[in-house]
Amino acid sequence: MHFSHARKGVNKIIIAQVFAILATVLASGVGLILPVAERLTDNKDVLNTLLFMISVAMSGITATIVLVLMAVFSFFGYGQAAKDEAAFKKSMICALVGSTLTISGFFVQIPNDLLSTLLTSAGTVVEMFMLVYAVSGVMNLAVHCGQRSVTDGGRFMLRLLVVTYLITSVNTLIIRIFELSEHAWIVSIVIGAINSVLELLRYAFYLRYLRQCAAMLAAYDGEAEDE
Amino acid sequence: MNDLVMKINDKKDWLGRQVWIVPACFGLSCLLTALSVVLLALRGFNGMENVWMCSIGADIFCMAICAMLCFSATLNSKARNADTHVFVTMLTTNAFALFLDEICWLVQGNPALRVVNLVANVLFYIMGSVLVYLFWEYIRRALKLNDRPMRIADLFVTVMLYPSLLLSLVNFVYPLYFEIDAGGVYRRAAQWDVSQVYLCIALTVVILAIAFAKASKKDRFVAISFVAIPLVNQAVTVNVFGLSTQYAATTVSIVLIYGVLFAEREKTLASTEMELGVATKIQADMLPGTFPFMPERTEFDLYASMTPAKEVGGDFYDFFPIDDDHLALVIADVSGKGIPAALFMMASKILIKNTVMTGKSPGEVLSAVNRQICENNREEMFVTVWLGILDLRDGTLVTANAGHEYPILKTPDGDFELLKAKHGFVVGGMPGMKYKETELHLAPGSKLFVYTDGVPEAENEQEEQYGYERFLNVLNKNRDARPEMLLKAVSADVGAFTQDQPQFDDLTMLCIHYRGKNN
Repeated sequence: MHFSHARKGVNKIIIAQVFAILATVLASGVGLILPVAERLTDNKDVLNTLLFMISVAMSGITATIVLVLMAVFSFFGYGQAAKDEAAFKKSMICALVGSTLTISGFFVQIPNDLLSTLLTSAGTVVEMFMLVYAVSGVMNLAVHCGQRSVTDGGRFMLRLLVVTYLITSVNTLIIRIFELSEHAWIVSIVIGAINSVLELLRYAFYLRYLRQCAAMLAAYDGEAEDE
Repeated sequence: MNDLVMKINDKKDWLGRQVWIVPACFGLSCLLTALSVVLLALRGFNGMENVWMCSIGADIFCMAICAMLCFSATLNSKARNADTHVFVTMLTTNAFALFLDEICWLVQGNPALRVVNLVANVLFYIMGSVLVYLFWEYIRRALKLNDRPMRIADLFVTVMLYPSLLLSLVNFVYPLYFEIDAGGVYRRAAQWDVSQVYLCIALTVVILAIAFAKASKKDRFVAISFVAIPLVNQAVTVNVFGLSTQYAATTVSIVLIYGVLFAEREKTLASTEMELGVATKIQADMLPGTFPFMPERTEFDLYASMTPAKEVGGDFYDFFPIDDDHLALVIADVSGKGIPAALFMMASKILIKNTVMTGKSPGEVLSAVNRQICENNREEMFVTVWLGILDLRDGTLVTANAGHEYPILKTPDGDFELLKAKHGFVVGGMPGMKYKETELHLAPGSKLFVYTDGVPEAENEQEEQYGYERFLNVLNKNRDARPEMLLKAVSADVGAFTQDQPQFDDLTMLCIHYRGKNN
């Protein structure tokens, strides 16, 4: 039995995760700087403020482009891997739906804050499902390949995913609760930073797990060819 | 995490074990409906806006529907399981939310009842989260979502419920979702949309679970209706102050779920009835039913019948030639009723016949069958057996009795009388049992009647038993009748005694008339 489709698919997902880390760094930068930038709009130094805002906007646009690339690589990666393991098909559907919800949530933020909140929350859940199904898919492949260490790594990954998504979801609620208070910007920065760290941690471990999976599949396909 | 998932599952299974839930939920739903009518009567419609009255009317009507559905669940106690408990709890939570909604409108605009309005609204928001959580729980059980991603989703939905409840409680001290102004009027606060986050998270999980579950289209449609109907209602009424019909919309979804559940149960019942009918036919085919049996043999005349109390019973009879000169006669009664008894009966019948055909004596046969049944008898079923092997040449009958009723013998010139020989222990009751044999000599013209306890223990309306006296009387009244007529006479007499009483036990009888070799 070969898992060549899964191997190629996982390699694409690895590239997507590199983009995800890059996008998180850029978006976090924007997220952390924006509350400060808003306070700077009162400043009389118009030129500095303008330059600052342009750099923030550039970072935001770059982050959006990287996010779109990540979504494209994820979609095709999961789609290819789905030819060998059915769980990746669910990840592919979740990748498509999750991206649509998150992007829609971003665009409707100004006309309708409630809808944006709901779309973003739903997007977060769908994203979690995407990763959970992907990790389950890798664990299923690991059972076929007889790689117990990868199965155990999957259990750890699932634990990490649940914990980080629970914390970031609760944190998002906290930010929304305090957004009208006097110190909203401090809460936003602190909680935003925590969320960014958790996201980076999640993506980094997921990336490491995918690399482990890619190595496992390469070794398995090599052995199968030798036989 | 596995430990946490297991702990949560243990707590959820607790719900399934609580038999008091259905009656308690019915009582609570009725109480809430009655209370809502009384409170409305006390308050009256003075000063109410039309939309408030619409909301109150919808609330009371839907509470009554919830109470009726709970009542329906109380009727069929045997069909209740953990799913029913979750469903009924969901119904009652919905009824409670409707009641709170009514309270909110009854005290609306009354500054003196500001605190009541606040408490009712906080509980109203709590019920929203609980109801969605219960719906997820119901869907998880109904669609049997137990794979790894669904267990994680369950953990996520369960844990997120707690901050959601906590945030609802915060409204007691800080107007997070709403505020009750000095005039006693409810107003949404700026962060009201946060109240919808948990609902959104849980319903997204439900939608994904339904999308990925291996469920029928009908189940998917019903599940999705719980999301779609309240969502459409919310979209229509979100900006109309006073028109709060989201829980009425939820009631419509619940009624839909109930309708499908009911239809499903009817389908299962019809299928079970059909299978029982097939089982009855299989069982009837298993028993020898061609009479006269071996008409070319003039030494004997034999007849037997079995009338099951349920569609399939646990009694059986059997008779078969072992060789040219020996005839085996068996009558037995399996513990219990219905399909399990019928399955055990079939196994016992085959084992007895196969062992008799090896040439063993009746006592040895019962010992061997007892040993084989005891080897894998996890359900602890047993069977009482009377086994006789008749030598057709001289009328010698060797019998062994494993806890069965005494046979009744009629000598050529005498009456029918109980033949009280010593019993052995039931087959399947205890391993290593030995069975004593009794030898009789049937003179030509003798009749032997064997039966199961359904005959003497048949009861009439006054709970009197048919008994041996009536039994022997009817036999003796028909002492010269052929076995077939004798069995029919006993059946008719038992029927006349019990009249319209339902038959409690199987009626099984076998009679042999020994004529002798040179009749």
